Amino acid sequence: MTDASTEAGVLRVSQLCKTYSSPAGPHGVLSGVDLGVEPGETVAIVGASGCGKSTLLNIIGSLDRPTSGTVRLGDVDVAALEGDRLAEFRRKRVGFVFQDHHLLPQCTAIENVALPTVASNDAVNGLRRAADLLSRVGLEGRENDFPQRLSGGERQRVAVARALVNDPSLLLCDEPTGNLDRATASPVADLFCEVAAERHVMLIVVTHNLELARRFSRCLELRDGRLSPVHQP
Amino acid sequence: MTLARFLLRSLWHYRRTHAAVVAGAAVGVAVVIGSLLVGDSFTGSLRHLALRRLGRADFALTAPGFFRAALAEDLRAQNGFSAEFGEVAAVLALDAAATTPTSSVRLPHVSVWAVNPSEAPMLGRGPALALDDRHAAVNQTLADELSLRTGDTLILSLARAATAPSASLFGRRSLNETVERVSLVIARIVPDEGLGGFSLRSDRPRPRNVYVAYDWFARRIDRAGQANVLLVHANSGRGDDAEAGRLSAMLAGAVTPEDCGVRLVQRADRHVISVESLNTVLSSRQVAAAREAARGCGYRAARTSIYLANTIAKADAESDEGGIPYSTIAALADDEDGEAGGIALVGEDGVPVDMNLGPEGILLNTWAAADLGAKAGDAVAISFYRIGADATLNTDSRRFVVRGIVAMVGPAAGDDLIPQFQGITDATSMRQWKPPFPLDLGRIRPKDEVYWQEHGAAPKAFISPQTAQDLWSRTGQVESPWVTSVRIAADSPEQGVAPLEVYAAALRRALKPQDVGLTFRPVRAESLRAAEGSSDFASLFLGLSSFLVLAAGLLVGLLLRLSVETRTRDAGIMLATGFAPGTVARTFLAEGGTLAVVAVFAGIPLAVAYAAGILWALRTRWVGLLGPFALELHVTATSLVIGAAVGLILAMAAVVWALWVLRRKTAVSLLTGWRGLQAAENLRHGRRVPMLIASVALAAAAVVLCVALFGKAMEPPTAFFAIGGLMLVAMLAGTVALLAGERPSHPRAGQGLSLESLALRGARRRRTRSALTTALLASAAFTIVTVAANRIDPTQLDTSSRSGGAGGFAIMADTELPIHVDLATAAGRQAAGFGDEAAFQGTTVLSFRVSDGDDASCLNLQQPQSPRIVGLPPAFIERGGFAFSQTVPHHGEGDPWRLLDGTLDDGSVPVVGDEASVRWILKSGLNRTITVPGANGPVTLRIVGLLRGSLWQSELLMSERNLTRFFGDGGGYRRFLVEAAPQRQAHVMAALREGLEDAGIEVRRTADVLSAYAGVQNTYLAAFQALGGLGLVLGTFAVATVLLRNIVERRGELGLMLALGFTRRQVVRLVAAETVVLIAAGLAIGTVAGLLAAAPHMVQAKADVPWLQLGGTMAGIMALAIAACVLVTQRAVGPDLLAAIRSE
Repeated sequence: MTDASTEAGVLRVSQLCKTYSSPAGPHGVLSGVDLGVEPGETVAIVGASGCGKSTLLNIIGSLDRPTSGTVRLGDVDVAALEGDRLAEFRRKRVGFVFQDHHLLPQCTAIENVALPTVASNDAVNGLRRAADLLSRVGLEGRENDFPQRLSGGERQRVAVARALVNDPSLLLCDEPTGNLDRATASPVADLFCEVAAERHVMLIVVTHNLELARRFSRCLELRDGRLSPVHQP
Repeated sequence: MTLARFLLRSLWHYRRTHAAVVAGAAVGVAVVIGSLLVGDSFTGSLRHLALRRLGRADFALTAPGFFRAALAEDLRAQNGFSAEFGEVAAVLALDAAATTPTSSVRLPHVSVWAVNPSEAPMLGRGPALALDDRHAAVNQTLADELSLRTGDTLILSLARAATAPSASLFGRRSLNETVERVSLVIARIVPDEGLGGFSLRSDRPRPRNVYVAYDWFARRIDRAGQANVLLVHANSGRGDDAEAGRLSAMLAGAVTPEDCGVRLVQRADRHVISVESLNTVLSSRQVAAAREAARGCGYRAARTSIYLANTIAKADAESDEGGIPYSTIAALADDEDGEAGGIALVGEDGVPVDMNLGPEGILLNTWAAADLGAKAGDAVAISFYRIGADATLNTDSRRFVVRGIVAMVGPAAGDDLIPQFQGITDATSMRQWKPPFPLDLGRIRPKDEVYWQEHGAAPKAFISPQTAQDLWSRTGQVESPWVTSVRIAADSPEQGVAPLEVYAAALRRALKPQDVGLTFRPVRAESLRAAEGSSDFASLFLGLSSFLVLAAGLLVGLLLRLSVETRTRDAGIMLATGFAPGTVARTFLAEGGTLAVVAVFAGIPLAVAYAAGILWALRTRWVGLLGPFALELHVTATSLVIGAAVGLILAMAAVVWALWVLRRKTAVSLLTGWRGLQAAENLRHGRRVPMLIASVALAAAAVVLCVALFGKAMEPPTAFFAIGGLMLVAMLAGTVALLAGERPSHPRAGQGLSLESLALRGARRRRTRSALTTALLASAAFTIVTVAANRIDPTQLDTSSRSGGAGGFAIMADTELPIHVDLATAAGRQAAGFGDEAAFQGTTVLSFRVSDGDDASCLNLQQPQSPRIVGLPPAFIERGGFAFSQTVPHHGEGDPWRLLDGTLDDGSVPVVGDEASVRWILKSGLNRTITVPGANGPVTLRIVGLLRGSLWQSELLMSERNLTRFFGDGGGYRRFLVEAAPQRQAHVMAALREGLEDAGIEVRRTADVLSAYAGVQNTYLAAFQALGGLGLVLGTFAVATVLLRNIVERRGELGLMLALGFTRRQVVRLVAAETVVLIAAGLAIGTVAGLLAAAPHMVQAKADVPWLQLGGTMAGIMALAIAACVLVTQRAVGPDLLAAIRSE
């Protein structure tokens, strides 16, 4: 097993299946998904509600486990990680941005950004990096504001900064602009693309928003449990 | 859908959450109601006991002496008696010590009831008591303690019938003379219920009773036809004070002078009536009544006093051998008009002699003058017995000058002036005298016998009344009774007096029964009063439970508030969909109210179980507290209603509080849910108000503490609750202030984020529930700390120091029957019959007179109606010792014991008591008064000093002189304290046991006495500590609830942390740390408040706080709480938390 924290590389998703049990019998959400993402590549995944987009993202990000199939990031078999190694993987290799920003209300913007570094006992450096990132996402001067004093777009920018604080190789965003209006969503989408390019990270965004999806290098549609390319108009 | 249906749907939908809330609130309600039920059970059990031990008796007359048994019939014959009272029984009731021929145990506190079989039902239901001579029935308690079976022999030691005060020349003092043994055969053993449980004493919940046939027993103890207890049953069943008043009025019409201890003798010539005492000397009340009756009849009354001279001799005689042996000498007291009540003594020339004799004057009768060859102006010496300070008989002598010679005519001729002296006046010759004092029969000459034959006990000399008083007085005392008869005569001898009945009627009117202690007490009403205000365990339990009840209340409030908080978003939806705010509020109020009602009803059976559990613990684990008292569960509707109402009010207050917080919120803000709302709220909460409250409470607590510590002007319980309450408020408000006012931090290098700082912020986020949790734990910790601070280590009790609880005395002995000589002196011990004086070498013994009364210590579960009083002899007051916690101001540096001298300006009698007994059992305090029945009517006692942790916890203390004056002499001494070196203590104890065995002696080391009191106190404390433990259980319950609730509320947040790469261990640490902060704060606040509240006691009582144990307990609690938190968190923080973040 390679070191989950240091191994860089491409993302390889192979024959990924996820089945849920229900009173009506097993319900397959993912039925053999294959996906490969190179560093610096940005991928949008679209699809109808309930088609399994978020499930796919959660499995890729190690928040959920597949029924079958593999997810490898570099040499790391994500599904095989357990305990501290799994936490370390999430901490160092993956950055998450959720539709709901999930900022801690008791922490200021900069503290929220630095939060993942607390887990690695590196909060001192984390705060420095967080300040830089907040500046990068356009929130300079708002470091000490609590989330409830920030607008929706600003909160999502903080969430983006938090996802980047540990310099991950994979950035996963689940409907990151779902709660934002168009005017607010657009700069946030720009931000994703910019930071992905700057940091050469793999960016996978799940969205309903086709306009947003078109900004990314690849756009895939999840339908009937499988991914298929969406032809750009 | 109607609102009612919506309500039902909501209740059903949130049933799991609601079930948890109801369960927790029910536990809280159970504690509130359960605490009340424990109090009810104490009161109810005591009430049951009170009613059970009195049989059918509603009123009891317990006379200090004996009266005619026929008084019962005379009382029954009074107008209106049958209609109102119906039943009356005359009983002989005696205290005794009991043993068997084969037992080495001699049990004190045995009550002997001599009753006619027909009157036995008055004592309670039971088998018929048709007992043969010498046969007895005993109750099960006594049978068990002495292992008695039917047919066994029981030996009782009883006080022998006395005809003169023991502390007088004619009194009997040695144990052989004052105690008699009565041997009985056990014919029946009766159960302790009903008849077998009869007792007139509230401090003996399981009496040791012996029942004998009245006729045989009365004859056996020389009390034929007499009784000393009258029991009356009231038809009304009330037995109240008003009925007691009417009964006393009927009694006044029924009593005869004989019932009042007075005998009327009309001389053969019918010119004189002599009022004599059945107890040799008349009390001042009897004398006053005799004189008042004489005035009413128009007669003269002369007080006469007779004493015995061992020798009357010329002053120049070389020895007693030459004098007149064993002569009576008389004093005639002037009436108010200066005349000796019409008694005229004349000289040989027939001219009345001058009766103004002064302290040195004496008149001899012609026979004595001739025998001595004395004439007026000669000096004579009289030797006589005097009762010493130690109540032993000493020989004393005085010189007199002969003022004249009295002719042996009129009253001087025979024994008109001489009352009956058993063993003397009934003897046919001097050689047949059987006096209680030593007599040298060899000194009696033939001519003395001739005089006895011709003149009987006619006095050979006359002295002044002052001299007679002096002779009758014990050494060092001046107030002993001295009048042996009052002689009633007409103005002139020729006139004569009316028939005896006329004067007797007048005397009956003048001599009030209550003047001689013949008073009916409403025993049932008294007993019920004692039960109502029992030894304060019930109220003490409630008092100490108050912190537990507070904790329970907080738990109820916390849970109900949590319940409303869950529904914030629903409230927002209702408002957003057009419901009026009032409708929304009512809906949630109805929902909260429903939960509260369900919690209350669920709490009632839990409360009963809780009370039953506490009572079980009291009966089994804390049995020392209750002794033989049978504590039963009593459930009263009042307590259920009050407890339920309190629980309901607390619950509804919590709901209203939560709704009040939400009242001005917009629908939008409510839609964000409680978390969002709270995040916004936290920005607005200021510290000013809680800081202000904290400051004011802290300042007030400091003032109270200073007053309690240095001013000593505050009652300790008041100080305890004031300081404790204020400190809890101050520190909890301080905690709220610390939790409030979230401010942006400005992280700098080196001041990074950490799990701990995040935990602290987590606690601050939910400040209300954090504050409530802290308060809950603080209440429990407070109880535990204060209990520990008050705990007494029996092994550390100081019995050697004079300023300690034992006053330097090593041994304490109590006798069931009074000892008539003072054991303080070797002479006294010898007179008492001690053979081994060597055992007492190097020791100091003090003897104490004790009045009858109830045990005033924590060993008596009932409220003493008339506390026992101990008379402190001058030697004790001179010696001092013991430690006073408080006294009334007294001048100079005088010993506080001097406060007991004399009486106070308001007529009250100064007494000292142990602080614990005065405060908790008698419910009184320093400089407060207690009125108790005395020998001559009610006596007001004023408490002038409080002793700290002393062995005087069962009684109040007053000077022996005051005790004798207001309560009688108690028949002798019944308490003995011995100061002895450790190596002598075993000898002294053995000697006391051997010497006073027949008196039913109980000898204990003072360390054991103090240990017994401390044991009870510690048992109380253990009970209260258990309450603290229950508080902690509630606290832990609350902590767990809050913890789980926090986790549920923050599932998304915690899931995010896992998603961000926090390990599960880190998340567990974070969540647990938030709670641990609250636990630590709660325990710290409770500990500090508890220590400060107990500070006055610790400083003033020099309490030996078990710091190590206390520290260990608190550390253990902390460790357990942390472990519980971590365990709960570990189970709650699992991988499924990620589902929360995924689902969001």
